[in-house]
Amino acid sequence: MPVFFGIIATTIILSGLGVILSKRPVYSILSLIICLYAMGALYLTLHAEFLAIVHLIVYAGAIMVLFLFVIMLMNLDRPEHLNRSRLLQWSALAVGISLVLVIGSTLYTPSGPWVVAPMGSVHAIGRLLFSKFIVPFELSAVLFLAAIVGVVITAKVPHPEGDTE
Amino acid sequence: MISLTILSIAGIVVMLMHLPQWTSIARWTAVIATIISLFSIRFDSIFTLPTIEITRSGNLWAGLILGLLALILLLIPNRNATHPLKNDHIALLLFATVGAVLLTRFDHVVTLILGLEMVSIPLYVLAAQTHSPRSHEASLKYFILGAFSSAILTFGIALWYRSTGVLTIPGPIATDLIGRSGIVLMLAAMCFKVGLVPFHYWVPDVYEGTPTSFTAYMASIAKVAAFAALFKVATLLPTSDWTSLAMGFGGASILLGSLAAIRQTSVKRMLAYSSIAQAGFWILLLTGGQFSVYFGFAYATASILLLWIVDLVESSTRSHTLTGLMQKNQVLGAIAIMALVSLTGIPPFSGFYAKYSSLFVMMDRGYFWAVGIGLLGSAMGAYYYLKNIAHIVAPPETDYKIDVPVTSVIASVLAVGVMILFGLAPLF
Amino acid sequence: MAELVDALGSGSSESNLVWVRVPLSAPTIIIKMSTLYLPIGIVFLVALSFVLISLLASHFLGPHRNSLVKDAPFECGIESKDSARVRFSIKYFLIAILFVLFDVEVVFFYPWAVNFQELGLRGLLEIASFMGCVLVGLIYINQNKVLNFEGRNVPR
Repeated sequence: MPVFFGIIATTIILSGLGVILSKRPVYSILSLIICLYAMGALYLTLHAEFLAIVHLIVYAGAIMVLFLFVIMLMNLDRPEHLNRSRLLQWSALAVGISLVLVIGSTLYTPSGPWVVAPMGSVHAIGRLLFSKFIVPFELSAVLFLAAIVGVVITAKVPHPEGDTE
Repeated sequence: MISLTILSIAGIVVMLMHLPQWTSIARWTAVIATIISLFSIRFDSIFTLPTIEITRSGNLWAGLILGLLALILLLIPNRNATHPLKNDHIALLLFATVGAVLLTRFDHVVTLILGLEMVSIPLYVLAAQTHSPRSHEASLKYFILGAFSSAILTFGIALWYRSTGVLTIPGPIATDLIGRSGIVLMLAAMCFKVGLVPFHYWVPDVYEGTPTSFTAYMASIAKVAAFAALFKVATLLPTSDWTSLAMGFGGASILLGSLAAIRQTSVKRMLAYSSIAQAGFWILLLTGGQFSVYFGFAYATASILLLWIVDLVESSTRSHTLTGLMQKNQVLGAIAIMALVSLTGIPPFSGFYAKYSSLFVMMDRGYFWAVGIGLLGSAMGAYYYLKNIAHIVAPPETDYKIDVPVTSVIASVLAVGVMILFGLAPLF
Repeated sequence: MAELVDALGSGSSESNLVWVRVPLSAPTIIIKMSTLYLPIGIVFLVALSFVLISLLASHFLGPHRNSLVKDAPFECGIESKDSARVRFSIKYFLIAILFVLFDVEVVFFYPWAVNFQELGLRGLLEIASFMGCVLVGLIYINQNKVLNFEGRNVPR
């Protein structure tokens, strides 16, 4: 287990460094995809299978495609278009360090070792999703509809005559 | 749950009415569905479902939200300054209201987050609907800051869960440092949604850039729902902590909002800053009981009426001033004056009792400096609201004409009537 | 720990999994984990080695003859000037966003499919109403001609 964890953690750290250090945004995104895959593996070692699958399908699969699309749409893939001010870099560093400190301090626990419960399995989550969390589940479909309507009417600039038909 | 289902189905039906000539049918479908779901609120408690908690005060909040939605749907003009009203917009308003009603009756953080997102995501889209640079800027600003506040909310929930191991609200009162800081982060995110002072930067730009019809929604229903949730989350803190936190937010909001509102020339920006000040008074009520619902009613109704009139004037003149409205259209002028008087807090209108009750709560608890700040804010408020009344009565600068549909006039006169009725009700 | 499980629901306590509430450091879990995920690991390795082997093979097996003319991007015509990455129409982006939305919806089907027998008719009705909403979204997209790439009703 420590070997697994070591491999995964090294991958995450190296690819994370790749995200913030590479000069071209496309390379950053490719490193981010590697980082997300490694995080998916980390979720697997914690028995959070559903989270791992969702992580791969949604984040590494879909969201990253969107990121690539945005970079291509905006022509961001040229270093001169990027704002790399010193102030931004230092404030990002400060935020990152304080986040590590806060999360690290919450991880400290005086009462015994952490244990892993099997509640992250797809089976258990499915049972919860269709019984206890049925209201949020159905309402999330309504939220998806709102998102679809929003996407379509935002991207659809009205014609000069004013109507779409 | 019945009211939520009716609203969702109405939203889906309206969403599919895609031909331009069906827009008025879509509007009336939405109005009827809203009124049906308003009357079905009392039957919601028949089904009890997990992650949903139906309380008496939650029903009051939900009733207020649905009533305001009916008013907005009746008032919203067919065409504002730049673009026609479409069925998609009405559907988005209905979907956002599903989230708003959910925020009045969540009892689990999942429903809290879902409700907040359901209110926010349609509004991010509606803010961009003018397709002008200002409108896009407003939308993007609102979206990025809103996404950031959602992240803060989630982080706060994680910290709170780390300390208590519970995800239900109302839950155990947090006592240790991690749990309390988690709840403070959650409250900070909610304060962003209602636009209280340390988190108010987005309010003026977003209110100004958004098409005025949708600013009315933002200033009323989105705010009422976020306050309902804010007061519920605040029960997780010990009372003394919450009181001092609320007084800090409230005092700062009243002072800064009023000071900035004095200097505005555009009515929309003035209303944005004054809404910050009003939110300051609102949070001084400390709990989500019937006084808060009353405050929400008084503030939101007046805001909707004013923004509706600004919208009508804007589509004829393309400017955000009300100068000379009284000579152009006496009914609209009178309604605007009454709404402004109500926001000032002068007796026959419900705005008076709303402000009075929040100052009374502070007096009751013995925080006289907060009462002082409130009185100072009211005095400044009287100055800038009455200045706008002077503009309305003044002779018009440009020539313009306003057409108002009869149904909108009837709805607005009814709303003013209810405003006066509820303003007089506490006296009896 | 009991709180942790209770907070997420009671469903997990009667789970049939072998490693219920075992500390992460215990040796049993290593065997279970590694045997359970071994096939997935092999698939990953095969995929990775296919990419690496085909890249390396084409590099070593192919002939290498470079010249200035051969490396030029065009054999005739105008010299290329700009980056190949040009801005493209918003409608591709629209499709990408809609793909993300439907992708997320597919994620919800996975836990339902795993519990298909257990959830029974009630689960079927629940997923059917969810599916209904997805279908309405699809009808809406079709009404607005988002997927049409030709003609005058294309969103710009």
